[in-house]
Amino acid sequence: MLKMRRVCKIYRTDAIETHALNNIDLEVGAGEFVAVMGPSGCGKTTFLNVAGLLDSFERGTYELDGLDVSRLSDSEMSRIRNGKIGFVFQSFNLIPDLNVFDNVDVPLRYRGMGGKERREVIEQALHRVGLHARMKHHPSQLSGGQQQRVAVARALVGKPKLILADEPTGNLDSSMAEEIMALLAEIHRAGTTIIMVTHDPGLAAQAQRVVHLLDGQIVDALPSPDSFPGSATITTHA
Amino acid sequence: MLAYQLRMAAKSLRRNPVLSILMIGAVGLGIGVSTTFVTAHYILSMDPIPEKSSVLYYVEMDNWDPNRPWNDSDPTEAPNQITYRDMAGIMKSTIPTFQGGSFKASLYIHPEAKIGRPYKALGRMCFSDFFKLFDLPFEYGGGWDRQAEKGPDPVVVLDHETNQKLFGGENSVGRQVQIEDRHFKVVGVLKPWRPLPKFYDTHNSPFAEPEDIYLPFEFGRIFEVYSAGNTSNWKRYEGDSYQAFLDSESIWIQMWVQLDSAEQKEAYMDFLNAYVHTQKAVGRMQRPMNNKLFSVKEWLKEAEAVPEMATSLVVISLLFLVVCSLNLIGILLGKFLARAPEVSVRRAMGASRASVFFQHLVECEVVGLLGGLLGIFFSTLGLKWINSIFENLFESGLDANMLAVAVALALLSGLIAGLYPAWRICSIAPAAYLKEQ
Amino acid sequence: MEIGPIFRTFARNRTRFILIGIEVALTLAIVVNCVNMMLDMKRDRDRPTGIDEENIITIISQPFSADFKDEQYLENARRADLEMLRSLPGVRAAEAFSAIPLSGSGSSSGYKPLGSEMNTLATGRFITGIHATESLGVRLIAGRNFEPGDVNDSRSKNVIMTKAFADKLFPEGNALGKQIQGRTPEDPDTIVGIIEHMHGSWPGWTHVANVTLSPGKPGSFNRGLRYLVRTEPGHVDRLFKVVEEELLKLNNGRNVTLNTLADVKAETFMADNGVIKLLSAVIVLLVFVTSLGIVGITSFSVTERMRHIGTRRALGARRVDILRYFLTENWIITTTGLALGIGLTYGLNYALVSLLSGAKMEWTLVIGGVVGMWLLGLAAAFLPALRGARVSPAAATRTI
Repeated sequence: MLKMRRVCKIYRTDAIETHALNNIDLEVGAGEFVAVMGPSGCGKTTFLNVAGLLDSFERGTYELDGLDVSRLSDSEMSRIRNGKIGFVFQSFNLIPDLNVFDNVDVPLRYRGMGGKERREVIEQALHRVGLHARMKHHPSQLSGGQQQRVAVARALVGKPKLILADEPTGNLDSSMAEEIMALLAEIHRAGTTIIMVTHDPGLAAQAQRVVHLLDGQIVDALPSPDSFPGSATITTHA
Repeated sequence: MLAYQLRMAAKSLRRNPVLSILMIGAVGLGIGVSTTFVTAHYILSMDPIPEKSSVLYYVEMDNWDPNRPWNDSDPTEAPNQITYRDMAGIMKSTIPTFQGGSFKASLYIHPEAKIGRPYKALGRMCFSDFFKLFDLPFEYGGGWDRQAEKGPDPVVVLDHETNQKLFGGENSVGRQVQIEDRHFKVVGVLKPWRPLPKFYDTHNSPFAEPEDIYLPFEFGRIFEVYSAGNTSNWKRYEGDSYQAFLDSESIWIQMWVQLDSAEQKEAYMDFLNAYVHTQKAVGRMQRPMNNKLFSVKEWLKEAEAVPEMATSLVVISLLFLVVCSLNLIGILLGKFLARAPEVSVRRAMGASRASVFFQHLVECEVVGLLGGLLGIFFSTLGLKWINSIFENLFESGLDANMLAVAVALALLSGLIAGLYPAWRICSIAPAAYLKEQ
Repeated sequence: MEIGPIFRTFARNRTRFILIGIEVALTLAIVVNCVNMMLDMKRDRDRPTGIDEENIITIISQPFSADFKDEQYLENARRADLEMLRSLPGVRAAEAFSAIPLSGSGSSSGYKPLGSEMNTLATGRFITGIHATESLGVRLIAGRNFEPGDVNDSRSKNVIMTKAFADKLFPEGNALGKQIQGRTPEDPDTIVGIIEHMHGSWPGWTHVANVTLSPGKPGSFNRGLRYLVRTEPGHVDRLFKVVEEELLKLNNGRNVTLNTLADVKAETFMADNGVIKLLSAVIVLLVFVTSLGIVGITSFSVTERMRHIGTRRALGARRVDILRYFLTENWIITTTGLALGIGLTYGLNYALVSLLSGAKMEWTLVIGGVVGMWLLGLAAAFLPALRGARVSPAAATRTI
């Protein structure tokens, strides 16, 4: 499904060059549920940006679903994000001006799909996350867990092969977090590849496989779990 | 508290200079344009003779065609000038404090050879009262006395510019000037004088410059000059002599009287009515009695001295200011709401809704005031420009009244533009933005 | 396009959109009304006058020498001037006139068909000579020009008038040869020629196209003498100096003032031209202010929605989709504003026409204004929208 070879991502300011990702080698098979773990600042978000084609990278190759996506134009990347990837963000990123239905509708708007068909798949997706009854609500009228479920519906609606989740439960309390994790597990069972970025070992444990990221590199194992997630003490960025 | 709020406002404006310049520029432009046109209108509609406008009256009487009114579309209007014979008739009255008919005539001045060729000047043929009626300001000498009109004595009053041209600006009282084929003695020289509008004779152009020289009315007859303004007639007269013209129904004279009290005015009106009756008795003035006394203000309105376009432009310029204020609202709203987190903190620390409201309003007024100052600068430029287009009509520029109007408009637009954004920012919940950070 | 969702977001950003809407509406109303007033004045100014404006020199000869008080002397002087003027190479025709057309100064009188009961109708009236039509460059469409015999001392005259005036006096179009009178029936005049079209002395006058030419000996010591000299095309400038010198050489007991008729006309329209300048300035400033306003508010809109843009990009929106989103949003607001603005435009026009001065609005002008504002709105929104389109999709994952 996803194959990265020696991928590097470098941030430059005037004085400093930071290797946010340093020679990442990673393969994720179709249907896998992989957790990417690491302390705050280890490069998790950068990894997610690169994996999700949200950001470019400097060196290395990246194959997604059998397609080399290393050197694509901006609009080609948009097409792939739209067709193959679903995103679930830590802060939900629903558009507050739009109601639930219109929010789920957003990705479909970018592929010429007829109105009737759109309506069907949106309702289907909302059904799946159990928010069918709240289609006309605005995000501000929903609880955090409900908002994240809308975001999951939005990620699902385009029938993506890969779902990228960025700390999907980071802004939620534990019962809501469980709901979301259950939802992801169900989606995974239905055959969708999921890569979840998290710093919570408890969540990571629910994945099939855990990849550890430290200082922009994949490491075999992390130092004893006790030393984090007190994230404040560990700073890895230059 | 105000000092603190002013300091906060200054800080806020310095924080985003580009935005502040845009806001102040928007207000400045709006104030600049509106003040320019309001001032232009104000200059055009100013009372040209404030100290006397309540006691001066323009006289009209109806000597027109019995079968057709002076103005087909408004039969109540009387002819807008009077005949020579009627002027002579009503000037026998002793009721007005001062009185006199006058007209403008084009006359040749023959300067000394070293100064130049003879040239046409505009003269006002008038009576000695003319200078007292309208309080003409003298630089040297004064008007002539009534006695001089009997002869008539060849006396002349020069305006400032003519004295400059003929005598280099010296005191020329007592010197001689050749006008047409006669020599006149200078008895007075005017200071620069430009009533706006030229209320005493609005015909042809209400904003024209006053005449260059002033001569006793009788010389009109001697030179046999016709009016350089409008002459209208409805009845053919026999012969083409000047005397026949004077005796005709031609109207060409502007008649003014000074009536200091209501009784005096009433008495004079009675006198006019009695005069018209004497004329009706000899077969003239067969139309209904229609004598009119217009105060200066009424006369300027009647003569439509202020062009309607000037008023249209004021309306348009005020709408322009509204557009600028809408712009200001937009920018302020964006700026204030971007500050919501900071306001949240202040509110959490105990700032009341009112104090947040006023702090932001103070900022709007600072913008309004600075914009107003910029606007005053713009409008001085604007008035200079308009002055150059309209041949120095707007030389006087901004006065204290107009400065006050500019500042008031600026503060008002700052206030109006600021109310909504300030209300929006003060009504956010104290905690709303604390959580998200 | 996603017009539906865009509409649904308006409810939540009401103020901003109302602001732009009203601003656009007001701008349309003001600009279209200013342009309307300008065009109205320009139309007045540029109406064809029937006269060969470009190739005519106007001369005012103002005698000061007392010799001119003698009528015979004056007449000799006039004849000498005209002979000299007509003999100059490049001169097509020259004639004396009692007033200069388009100058704002002249005389008028009233005529009606002989014996008619109606009120007299107003006409501009020029006393002139046998070369009148040729010197004005106006076209005679019926009858004849003046002949030497027409210039006599009789009080009944053979006159030439414009078709506009002839048709008003004789609506059946049979004016030629008819007799006309003033208020009284003595000394009727006879129409011997009809001019296609000509404007008289006062360009702003309702009856400016009513003109009557009457044969005679115009000019006096007091009022001076006035001539029109019509040159071959393009000879005005060259002849200007020559004419002045030759006139003074012929008789130095007077001043002569020369102008081109084009300049005389421009002077008459000085105030109008000034107002046209003022209105243009208002239009330019207003369009500038409104564009700034649209740029400003769209910028805020973009800045505020960085994260949404990032999210949309993450969900597959291309740059052009984002650009299109903001332009569509702006277009909808502008269009709503313009719909309101059309009403305001007519309202303001009605107010200006009925309360003050103004001209009725042509609907084509309103359409033009709407199209112009559409383009202006899109152009002003384009830069901020482009900035929005440049937002990286990674903005979605950035923590604030």
